[in-house]
Amino acid sequence: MADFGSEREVTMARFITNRILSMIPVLLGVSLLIFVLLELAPGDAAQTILGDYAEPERVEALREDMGLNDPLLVQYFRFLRDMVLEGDLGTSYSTNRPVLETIMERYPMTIQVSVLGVILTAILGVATGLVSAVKQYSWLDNLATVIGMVGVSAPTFFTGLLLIFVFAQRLGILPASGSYGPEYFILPIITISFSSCASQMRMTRSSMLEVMRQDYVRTARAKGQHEHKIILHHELRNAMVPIITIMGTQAGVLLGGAIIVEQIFSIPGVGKLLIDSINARDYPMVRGGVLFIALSFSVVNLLVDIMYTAVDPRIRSQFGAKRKKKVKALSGNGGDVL
Amino acid sequence: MKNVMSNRSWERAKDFIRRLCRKKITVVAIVIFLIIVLAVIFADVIAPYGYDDQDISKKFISPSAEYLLGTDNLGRDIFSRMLYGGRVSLSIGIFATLVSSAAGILIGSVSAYYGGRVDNVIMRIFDVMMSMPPVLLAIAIAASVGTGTISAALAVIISTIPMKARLARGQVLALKDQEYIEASIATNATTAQIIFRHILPNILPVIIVQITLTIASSIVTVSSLSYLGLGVQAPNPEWGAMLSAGRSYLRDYSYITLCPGIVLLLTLFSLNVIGDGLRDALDPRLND
Repeated sequence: MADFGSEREVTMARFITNRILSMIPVLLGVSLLIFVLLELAPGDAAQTILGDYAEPERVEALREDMGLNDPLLVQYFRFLRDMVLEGDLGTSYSTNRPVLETIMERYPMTIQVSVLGVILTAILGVATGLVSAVKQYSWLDNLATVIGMVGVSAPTFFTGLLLIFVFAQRLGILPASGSYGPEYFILPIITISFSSCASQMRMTRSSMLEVMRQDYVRTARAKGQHEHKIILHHELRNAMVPIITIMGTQAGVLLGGAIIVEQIFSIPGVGKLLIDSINARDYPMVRGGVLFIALSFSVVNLLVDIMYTAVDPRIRSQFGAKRKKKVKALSGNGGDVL
Repeated sequence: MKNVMSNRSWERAKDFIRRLCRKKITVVAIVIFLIIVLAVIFADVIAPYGYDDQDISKKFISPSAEYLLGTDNLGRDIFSRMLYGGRVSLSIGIFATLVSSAAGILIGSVSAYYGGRVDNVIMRIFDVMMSMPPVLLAIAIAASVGTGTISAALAVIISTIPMKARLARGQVLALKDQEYIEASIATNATTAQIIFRHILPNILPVIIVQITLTIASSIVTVSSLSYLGLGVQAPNPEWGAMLSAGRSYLRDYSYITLCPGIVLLLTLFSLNVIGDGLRDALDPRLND
């Protein structure tokens, strides 16, 4: 038995290593994509730095100096070399500070909001979905279904403004913007997770309803198993794969939502930095911001894949090359995934 | 023969409508959506003012008979702006969905049908695009193509294509090995015939549901971009942009923000409910 366990750990470690290695080409792709996109963007870096009234000769000299006249691929590989070898993401055009330094200052804020949002989504979404499924067609289920539909539809920025209006301006019980204490994060976190909660609830409900009709559930009930044990052990556990799939998708939505939420609530995170930098045409900063959020999303997907193996022994035994297909087949029971 | 066919398709259509209307909420959603669409199409007739008619002496007027939903900080009629704004939001949403779906389905099904290296390269590019959160991808594209109505539409289209292509690809791959496809290959059918006659009709139900839901998500994306200042620019009205502009006056003149916000929410809600209803009505597994 002990041998089996350690062997499993080795396969697990190999799987995680492979999975991390597979992130590298994707992240390289993202960096190339954002590099090309910003190359096409309006405005000229040298002009941005020197201002609109700089003499053309000075602008041209700076362009040459910054290597902006080199072919795109040469510039890209220079950027890549600096990033990989020296951890250098470039220097901001507007503040003249290293991009990485500024992002690292802002990053904890974004992660804090997103992670708390994910936690709230996971707890509230799964719990309400579970209750909704167990009490199918009750008034509770109907209410949850309608709220769920509104939640799925509500754009983040409208939810945020509505919450500010009600809780900050009419009731005056919570602050509307800033980041000076824990109470400042309550509205942003509710805003960011409202939609995701709704999706999570809908998926949990439909996934549970599918599982609840299975024969093994009837068998468990016939054997006199306690109802709560049936729900948690036989039903929820088996409904978990699509629930986790949606959790991963929603984590991406939340990371994107963080950009909007930071803007609404004036939270100085990477998302707000990104939008401010786009408006200032500070492209090294934009590049850094996009890369960081994309990297975070990749890490989330990695965690989701690890979670699959934790909840489903069928996937655990399939760590090999065909693992992905198995996951897709298992989670592909229609519903909201489509 | 023709008569029999049309009779049968009439029966099928009636059956489909009956199933679609089985849930009351779907009917309500269809009615809401139709009202909004008609109001937006006939904005010229319905709107009492132009979207850009300013009268600074009449700023911040509360909803009244003269100004149904009040006026904003520049004395512009909110109701009129909302109608014209809906025109922008809805048309970008629908247009972007149709273009991105067509492009996505074409790329995805060709990629799946031919397979091999082409398929591999295309899918790796889409993998990269989809490894970013959807909003981030749209923002990055918007940063690249610049601000404005057309740029916003372009950002929505490009950021939606990978998802559509991957979906279509999956559907085609699943159908490709079916016997009736093999049979039509055996009868010497051309590739175009196989794709348009046999494959597309079979994935159509999925596509129709997808299109409904994608219109909703495209509207969200474009209004989010506009909210962030990266999409439709003033003085052009757009729901997201209107919400963004009303943010500063939320405390005292909440109707400036809440009215377009509620209509936006109603639009998205009805689209999502219709999408759900269509899925139930088109799902052959639920045919009983």
